[in-house]
Amino acid sequence: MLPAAALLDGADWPEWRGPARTGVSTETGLPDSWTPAGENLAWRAPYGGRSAPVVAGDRLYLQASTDPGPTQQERIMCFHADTGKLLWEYRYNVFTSDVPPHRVAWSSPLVDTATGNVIAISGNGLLMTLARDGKLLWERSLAEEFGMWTTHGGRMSSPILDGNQIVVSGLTFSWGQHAGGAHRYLSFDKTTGRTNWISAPEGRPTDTIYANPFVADVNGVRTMFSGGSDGAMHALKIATGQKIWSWPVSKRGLNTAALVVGPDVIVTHSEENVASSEMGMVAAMPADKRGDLTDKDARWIVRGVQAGYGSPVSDGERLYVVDNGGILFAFDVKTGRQLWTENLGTIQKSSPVLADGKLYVGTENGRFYIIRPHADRAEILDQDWLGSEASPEPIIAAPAVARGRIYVASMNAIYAIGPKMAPAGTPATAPARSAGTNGGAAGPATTLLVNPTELILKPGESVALTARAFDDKGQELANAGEATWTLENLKGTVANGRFTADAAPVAQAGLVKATVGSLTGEARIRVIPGLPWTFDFEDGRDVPPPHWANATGKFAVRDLDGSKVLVKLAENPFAFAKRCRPFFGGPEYSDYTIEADVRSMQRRRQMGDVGIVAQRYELVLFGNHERLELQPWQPETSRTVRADYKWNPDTWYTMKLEVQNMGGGKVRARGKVWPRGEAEPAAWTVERVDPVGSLKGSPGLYADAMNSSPTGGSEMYYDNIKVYPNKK
Amino acid sequence: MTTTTKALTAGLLVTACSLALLARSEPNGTDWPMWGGTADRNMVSGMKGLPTTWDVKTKKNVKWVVEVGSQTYGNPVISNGVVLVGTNNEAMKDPAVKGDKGILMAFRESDGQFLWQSVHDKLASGRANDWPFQGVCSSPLVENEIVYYVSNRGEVMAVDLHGFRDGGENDGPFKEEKQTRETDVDILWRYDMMEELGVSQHNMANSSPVAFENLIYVSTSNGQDESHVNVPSPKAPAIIALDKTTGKLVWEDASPGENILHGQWSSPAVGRIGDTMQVVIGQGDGYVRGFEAKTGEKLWEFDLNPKDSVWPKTRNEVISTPIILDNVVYIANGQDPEHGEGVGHLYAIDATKRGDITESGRIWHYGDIRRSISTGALYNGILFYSDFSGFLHALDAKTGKPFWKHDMFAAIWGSPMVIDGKVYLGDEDGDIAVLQADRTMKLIAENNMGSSVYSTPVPANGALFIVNRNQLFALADAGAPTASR
Repeated sequence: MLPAAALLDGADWPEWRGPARTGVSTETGLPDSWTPAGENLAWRAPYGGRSAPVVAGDRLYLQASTDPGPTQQERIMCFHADTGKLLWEYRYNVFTSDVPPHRVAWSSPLVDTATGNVIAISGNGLLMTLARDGKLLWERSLAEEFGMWTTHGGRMSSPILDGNQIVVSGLTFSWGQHAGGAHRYLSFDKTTGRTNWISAPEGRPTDTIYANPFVADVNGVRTMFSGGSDGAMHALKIATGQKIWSWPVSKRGLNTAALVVGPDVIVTHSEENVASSEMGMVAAMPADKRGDLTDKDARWIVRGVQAGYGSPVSDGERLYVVDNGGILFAFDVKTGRQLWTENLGTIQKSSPVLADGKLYVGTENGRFYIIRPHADRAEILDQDWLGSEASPEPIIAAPAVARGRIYVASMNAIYAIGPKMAPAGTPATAPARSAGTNGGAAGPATTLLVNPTELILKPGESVALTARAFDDKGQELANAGEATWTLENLKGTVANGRFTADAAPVAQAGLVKATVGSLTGEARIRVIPGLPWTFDFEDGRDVPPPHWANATGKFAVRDLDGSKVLVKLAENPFAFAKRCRPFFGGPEYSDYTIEADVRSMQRRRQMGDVGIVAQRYELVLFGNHERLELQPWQPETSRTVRADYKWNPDTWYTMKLEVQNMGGGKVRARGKVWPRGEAEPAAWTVERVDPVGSLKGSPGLYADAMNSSPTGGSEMYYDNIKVYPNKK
Repeated sequence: MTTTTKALTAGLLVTACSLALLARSEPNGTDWPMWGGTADRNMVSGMKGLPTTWDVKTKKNVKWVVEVGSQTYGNPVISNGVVLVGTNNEAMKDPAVKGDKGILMAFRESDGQFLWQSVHDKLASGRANDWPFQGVCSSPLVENEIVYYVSNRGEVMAVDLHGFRDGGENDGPFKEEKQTRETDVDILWRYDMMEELGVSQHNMANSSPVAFENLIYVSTSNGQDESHVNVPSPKAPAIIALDKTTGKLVWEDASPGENILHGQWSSPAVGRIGDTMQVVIGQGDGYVRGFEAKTGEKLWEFDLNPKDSVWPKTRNEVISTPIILDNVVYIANGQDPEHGEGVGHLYAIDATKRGDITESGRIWHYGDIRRSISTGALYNGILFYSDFSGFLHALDAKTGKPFWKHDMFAAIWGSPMVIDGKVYLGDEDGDIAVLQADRTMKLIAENNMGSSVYSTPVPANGALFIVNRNQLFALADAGAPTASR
């Protein structure tokens, strides 16, 4: 380990688009030209993808996939920034997700330069903090704990670190008041991984998105800007997650980051405008607005420029934007007047960076450009194919500038463009974001948070909660004042912030509330006993158990043939989250068996898919395929075990899935199915020993109703669910 | 339609067919009633006097221009004085119809006057089956004053070319139209492929229908679900034949089954090959297949990918429409534009062979093409074929040897169209290049349309019809008298 001071030495680019996320570096003497064959090339390493490299000290990090096949995983990789030598990698599984193998590792990691820790979120919503040596410090499984939905597209916003908190976002279907689908922002303490706040400022999601957040001080308010899944740009107080303003700009979700230039925030997109049949927009909105904004509030708006993937960059005078078709635009940032364009290619995803008076831009066509922008034109200093013209390497990630070099990741490789030896005494790279405090005396409290929130406790367990007060600018008060503590839908005791759950082995889900004066804050808490569990749905409720994540609203409890059963409703209000995996508890369970009775109906030649989940393994009966499948990672099909199984609609079957840790990282999963009421067959139908096993995970269900239609889609039914430790 | 006009159009049908057959020699009074102009889908016309230069800003050679939706992937077709184009609802032609919809719009050919529109709600199942704002992507087929197309909901539609403007008569067996104003659609019949066949189209049902005698053929677009791994409905057909009059299913085929790589967005072509009328279509497993037109019997299949190719890196799907000429099928493979660029393959296939003809039917292979979603134009022994990386290739149709290649510097979604010995081709930067359709490359002109062109320029009755993303243009040489019908 190097001493902490060394970590901060030299030019850091610790986050996507740099320390302030502006895409600007103040380094000088950077290359005007290079060749992939070796001129001005410090090194090339054969790892790449969509994740942008970040650099802290002499280390470069990115996320990437491992090689395709039945042991494919996602990984966080650490390289020596001067040599390209792989120092370590941390591998982890992708599970209970629709993310296919070729779309993992979408987001970019970041480095906490104060500690050297690396923070990253995986393609299926595993939020992780690693020490500088690659050791896992903590993780949160957002899919299992928050019902985060991760899609086929792989889209995942990168985390941001501000002060002591990490903020991530995604479409979640959780429990209680958060059961309804919304694109939520989640704040975690960077040291403990505990949850600070959960915010849902957005309207109805139209898409899953990968807009990365941007943070700036706006008149003393620490403000996070984020493009929304609802097509609006949102400004939030990062201390509390509360909305300052929202500006609906598009009928589709946003994927570009905001950029604050002077008094304005730049907003771009490439889809349908709210009130124009012309697609795409580049615009400037005064950053210090409040409330629900409209186009009238904007400084300027240019329509028809489809800049929906690459985020903008500015030198303070001119704004540079590459549209989806690979055309580089220069605008006067104060007026929006278009100055010039330059055609760089045909497909664009990556964001440019501006350093040493030059734009460094990679295109998805695989060409990397060095461009000197002038007032009236673009001067192309250099252009190179990564790979070859015949077989180019697409560039999707944004470049990094650090240690006198430009680091570019293509889908195939990382290139360190610049001298082999890092220049001595390289000045600090870019205007860093200021620290996370606003300065000035705090005003009167307007918001109360109870921390930590979103906890899972065992019966009888107790936890110390803190009421935290914030003023209107999001500044925390030194003392929140004397709080009155109450419980909602929870049995137990609470006094002076210490909550002790009732000791009875009964699952609960509710709120611990703190009230100070007129302000109330709450911690969301679930109490879940240890195994075994049974769910027969005969307790008189017509809804699924309240402590399940991703179930309320998608399932109901109904009478079927004289028994109360769990019904997966055919209609799904969130069509792009069609496949549904409710989870019964946290991710810490291992070595257990789940059983359930299942049945499906047939509509329009179609029969739904129904299944059970244990320790991140899925056992699914496919209706239209008449097949039983055991799936460690559904879209990575080479590790799936299949067996044909003829089954009938409107008929009950019993499924059983047992998962056992075998040691050495190996896990055995095996499953069987038989007509309910018949004797259980002795043999397992499908079995897999997974060499890269998932060692723990929440029990849950799997449901995929076939297309809804005016005449109704197919429902699925579950009953007599049992989860118990494996029998010896 | 009235009974009188039906009788009339029965006569006209013969005339229209004759015109179609004569299209290449006697062009100027000619409609463009389907994707490709004729059932063989070859993008060639002999029409004379169309402009090679125009200016959408100064309106030079612009006969008229109208607003369509914000995204327009359907190609215009022109028949009996009506221009039809599939688009979305962002133009809000009917203020009562709000929000995202699939729209088929009808305009008067002479002046662009909006006539009527057919409105389709988006599917509740969302983007897995019906991508937001992509509208109606099918290019209609017009025969006997009946418009056939596939809606964004996976319905095969038969509607009256003249809507309720033919005296307000509600034609056909379908009487459930909610509105029967002059601007509304008059539906004759509707066949819901999701409802009837269990089809689960991937992202969009887009097929452009083609007909032979009393049958109409469409791809169902059955494909993967949003996981991009699972084909949720493997037993649903990939291609169907419906009775043109009743809309009843006549035959279906599900050859790609579970092997669909992604979606199915190729459209069928029909032609006489040897002594057999065949329907030929690219399918979701990367094969192109030929079926006996009447019975649906599978006659041959040809794998458009090398055996060692791997989806999605090197193995491709098929989005192009095959063209049929002199017993030979020409088709390239490619991928969803969302997947970016990559290697492509273009083949000339001897479709008189039977069985798996991947080896036996291969006349030539051209590997210097990139992924393509375009359809070919074969003119004067030269095959023009464009790719998504922005190249137009001119090849010797007999040998597959290249004559030349032209770089448009922007992605090409549409297809080259040869009109009177000149190739017209649009790109994503909104440029329409006009080149000499010859063995040596000569760029005659380049005209910008103001926004991306995802479609193919179409000739009809002395005018050139081009849609960019949100506008439909009728272009005609202002100096020459427009051919009248």
